[in-house]
Amino acid sequence: MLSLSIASLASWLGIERRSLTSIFDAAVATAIRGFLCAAIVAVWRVIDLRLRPATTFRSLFDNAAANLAFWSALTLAAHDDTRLIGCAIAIALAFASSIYARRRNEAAFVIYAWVYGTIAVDIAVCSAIREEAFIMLYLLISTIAAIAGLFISHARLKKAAA
Amino acid sequence: MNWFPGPSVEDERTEELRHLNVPGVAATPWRHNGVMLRIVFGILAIVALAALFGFFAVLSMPKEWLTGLIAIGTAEWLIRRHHFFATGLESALWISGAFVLIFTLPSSGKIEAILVFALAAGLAGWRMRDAFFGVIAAVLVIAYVAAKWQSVPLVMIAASILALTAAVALRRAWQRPSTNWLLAGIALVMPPAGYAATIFLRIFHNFATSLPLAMILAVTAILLLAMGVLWRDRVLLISGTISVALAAVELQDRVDLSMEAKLIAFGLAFIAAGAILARALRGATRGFVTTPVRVAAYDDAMQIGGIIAIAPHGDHAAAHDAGGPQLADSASPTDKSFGGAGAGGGF
Repeated sequence: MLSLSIASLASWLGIERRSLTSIFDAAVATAIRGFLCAAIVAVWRVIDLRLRPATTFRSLFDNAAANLAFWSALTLAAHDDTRLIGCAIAIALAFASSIYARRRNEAAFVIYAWVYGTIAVDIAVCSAIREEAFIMLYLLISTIAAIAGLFISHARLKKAAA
Repeated sequence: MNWFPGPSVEDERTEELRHLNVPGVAATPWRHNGVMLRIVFGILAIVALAALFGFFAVLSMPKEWLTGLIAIGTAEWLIRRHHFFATGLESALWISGAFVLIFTLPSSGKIEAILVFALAAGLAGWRMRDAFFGVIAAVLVIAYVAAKWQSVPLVMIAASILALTAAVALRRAWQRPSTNWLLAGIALVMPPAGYAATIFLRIFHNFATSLPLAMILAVTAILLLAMGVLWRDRVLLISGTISVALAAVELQDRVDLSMEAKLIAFGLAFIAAGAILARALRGATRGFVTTPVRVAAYDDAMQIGGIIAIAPHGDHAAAHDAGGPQLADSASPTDKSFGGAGAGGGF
């Protein structure tokens, strides 16, 4: 029910997922609404934790806020005018996500950090490279690096949890 | 000499025990991941392969051969050298490599090409002991039957026979848990796969309700539910329930009610069934029991993705020269092109 409520809030604010590519097709205004929605969810989480400390909704709030913020950052990164700021926000969020994952032992946030972070860096680098062969080579290397990084990070998290 | 190294029967059974959190079970030498991480690694592996394919294409090199061989070679290297199995990475590399290599074969445009893809998926499933690839192979066989004979009842009968055969085969105590997963997957997926194939067959022609199709689904459902009850197998109960739902969907045009009324009726029926079952099975410790299950460590993440995906949305409203959005542009009852929170048309 809570996830449905959050989705309804997002829809009411004008955020919707039409297709897999919709993150990159959305307008800058939608990204700003996304950040607003993430902030509302974060505040909602704090209030809920204060009023009802025994509930177990923290993880759902955190996942929702993180995804909304990442999607919004990538939407900004998809536009020429806001590309740098969007990539910078996504990379900063990726760092925050990896720190959160280590502190809370939340494996999903390691995935967010590597996947969204890699997409942000890829957008920034690929928009700067003109040669098609170099773009392909770069994407190959960056994806292999993301795979290796995710593998190592996840293994460390599992080891720490054991 | 073992030409195709992988987890032994003992390894697979040990891993199953570890999944059940049985204390004191030692780890096997094989690296593996949970479902969500396997999906992520699989997608990343496919992205890397696509980039490699593109790189060879730009350099005008034999892209299919090189990409396919590198993919399967890397997968085998990860398995043999680093004991990767069920990490998502080597599985995606293997099946992608096999599919890419198929494109090196001379194309004659025949329908039988579907069977070649089914064979590749089956081969990858056998090598990786991966039920998912095995199920893909079975789905491709159904797609072949549909494309070859274009008969709605025949496709559904073929899918039902596969589901029922897998259900019966599940009675046997298989040595490898992966064989059980494959059979369970086929029993579960075949009814919806067969029904989806019949929709594809009819969508380009006169799409009429097929009473024989509904009958086949109903008979399949009855048999699956009976086997599920007799053998205490929840996979068969789920598959039977899906078949009941598909039969109901097929017969929906025969019921003279509005779509909303049908949806409400179905929703109420599901709620009632859930409530009755929950009440009847409360506290039961023998026979049929209910157990709270956490699907994976990523439940919350999956909920977000799922809910955003089904959140109401519609097409953008038509553009307006002046005067703002028009109510008449609303495309459907769930069209929210006017948005909320002060959003204008288009949101």
